[in-house]
Amino acid sequence: MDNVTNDIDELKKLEKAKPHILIVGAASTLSGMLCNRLKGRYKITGIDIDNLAEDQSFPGEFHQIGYTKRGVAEIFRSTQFSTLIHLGRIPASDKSRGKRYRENVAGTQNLLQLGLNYNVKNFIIISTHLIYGANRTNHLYIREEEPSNAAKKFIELAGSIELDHEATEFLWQHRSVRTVVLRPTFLVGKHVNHALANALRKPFCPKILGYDPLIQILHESDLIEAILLTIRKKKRGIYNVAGEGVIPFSKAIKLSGATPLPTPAMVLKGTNVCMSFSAGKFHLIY
Amino acid sequence: MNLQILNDLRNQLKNLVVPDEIRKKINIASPVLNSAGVDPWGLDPETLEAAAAIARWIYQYYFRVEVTGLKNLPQGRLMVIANHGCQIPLDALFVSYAMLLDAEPPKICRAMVDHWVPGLPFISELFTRCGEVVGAPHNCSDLLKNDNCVLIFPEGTKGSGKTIFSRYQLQNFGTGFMRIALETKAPILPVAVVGTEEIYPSLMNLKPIAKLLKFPYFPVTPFFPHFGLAGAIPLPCKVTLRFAKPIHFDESPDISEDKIHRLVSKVQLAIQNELNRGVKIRGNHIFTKAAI
Repeated sequence: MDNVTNDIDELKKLEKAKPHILIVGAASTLSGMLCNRLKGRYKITGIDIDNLAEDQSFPGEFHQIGYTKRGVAEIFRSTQFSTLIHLGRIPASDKSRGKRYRENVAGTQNLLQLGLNYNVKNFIIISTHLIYGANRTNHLYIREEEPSNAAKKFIELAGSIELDHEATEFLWQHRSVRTVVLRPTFLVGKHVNHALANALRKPFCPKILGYDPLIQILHESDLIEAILLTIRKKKRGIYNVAGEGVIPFSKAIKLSGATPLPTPAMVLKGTNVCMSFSAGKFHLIY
Repeated sequence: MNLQILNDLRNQLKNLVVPDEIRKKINIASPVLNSAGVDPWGLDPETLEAAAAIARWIYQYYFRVEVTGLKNLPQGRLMVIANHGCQIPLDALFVSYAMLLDAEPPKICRAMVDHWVPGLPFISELFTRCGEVVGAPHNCSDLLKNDNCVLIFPEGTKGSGKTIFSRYQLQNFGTGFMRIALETKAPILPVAVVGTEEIYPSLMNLKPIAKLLKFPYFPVTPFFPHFGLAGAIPLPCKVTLRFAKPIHFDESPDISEDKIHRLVSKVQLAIQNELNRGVKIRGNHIFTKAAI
């Protein structure tokens, strides 16, 4: 009996010793994938401005809360987190412009500051490659040190750019903590839910007539691997995350099993599809 | 099923049109392809084969291109510098074709195109699949660091948009290419293209119309624009490519702009000399005589 009690105490100690990770944007499908890989080895707490989907579970505490709300500070006060993973960037096609800006900019700033105040030692922020902007003067392989030009042509990305700036500024200002900013390219995979991934799932995918831009894509599981690597390795800095090489958009459509539907730019121009495309590296709107 | 038949037909047609020689040369030049069948800069060998097969007719039978000096090319990275005297980039096509079919070993020459080219529908797609890359400094140095061969026209649109009255007079060279050559330690191969500057004998450049259409220039030739598209048919001038000896520069990439200008002048002089020699040999026989 004493042995059993000792084992339980030992397990409790081990459980207590597990590092505690805070996932921001925990209701996303990517968070679900990440949690599946983290659970068991880490304790996890999640926060999101949206609630979990009906069929979604979370392997730890979950709080639905805006990132600028006072309740967020209470979460930091009650738990000592070792790592903060920010997956909660609101993309250009989601929520109202005001809300998007508030959560991406003020929300991120609040989270980072709270993390700093409550001794979080590792910050991993998932930004996006879209901040570089589609520009015909761009060279093909954009490096991390290059400016974020996206707002020049697509103002809806202002919040994402600002989020990235918050994170990079935090990286340089606070050297006592480890900050990593990841900028993944277009994500594909069955859990991913953005304009391009959704278009690729349909039997016919619109492609701008006369243009076949080169894109870089990344599988969702590769991004999860990159995040896990970032947790394990003690590196800091800004990293673009991309699959190897480039792929013409028409080939990406064919590989996904869809049929390219060449459509004149004028037809696509007024649609949401075009708006989302122009945010990426599509050479329609310069 | 229908798609399969169409694909088979397409492949058979391609086998018929693309000569074995072109296929072999592209294989020898061996671009490294990813699983999507393109190289890291979007080159698609299948498109290149088809384009080279069509270019062959233009090169051999329409412009009857002749080549001199294309021997002992250095292995590995190479920066080809040429004069840019044609209103449309036929000179890029000729030099690239010669480097692929006439050079030993064959090289896929990646022309650095202007920033406005990606905005052209269909053309931008074709150019990228054939290996052309936007002429941004990072693209150029990345290509050279990966041992590619790049083709640069340092005159830019100043050269291609000039009138017939300034033919074979090189316009001021941009200097960006030299710093990249020094940084990547790439040898420079100067080429003089003789014959292309009479293909579209531009009498004047209508700048206001060019500005309105967002073109870099709008040439008026004896036939264009008043004969419409028929006026845009190129004159079948005989073209000669005169390759000079490769030049190796050992200077540091951090030398002053003055010194860079001096090195650029050396390259410009080498091309101007080749041009002068070629034009002198050819004389006024622009349709019949090679500049060799």
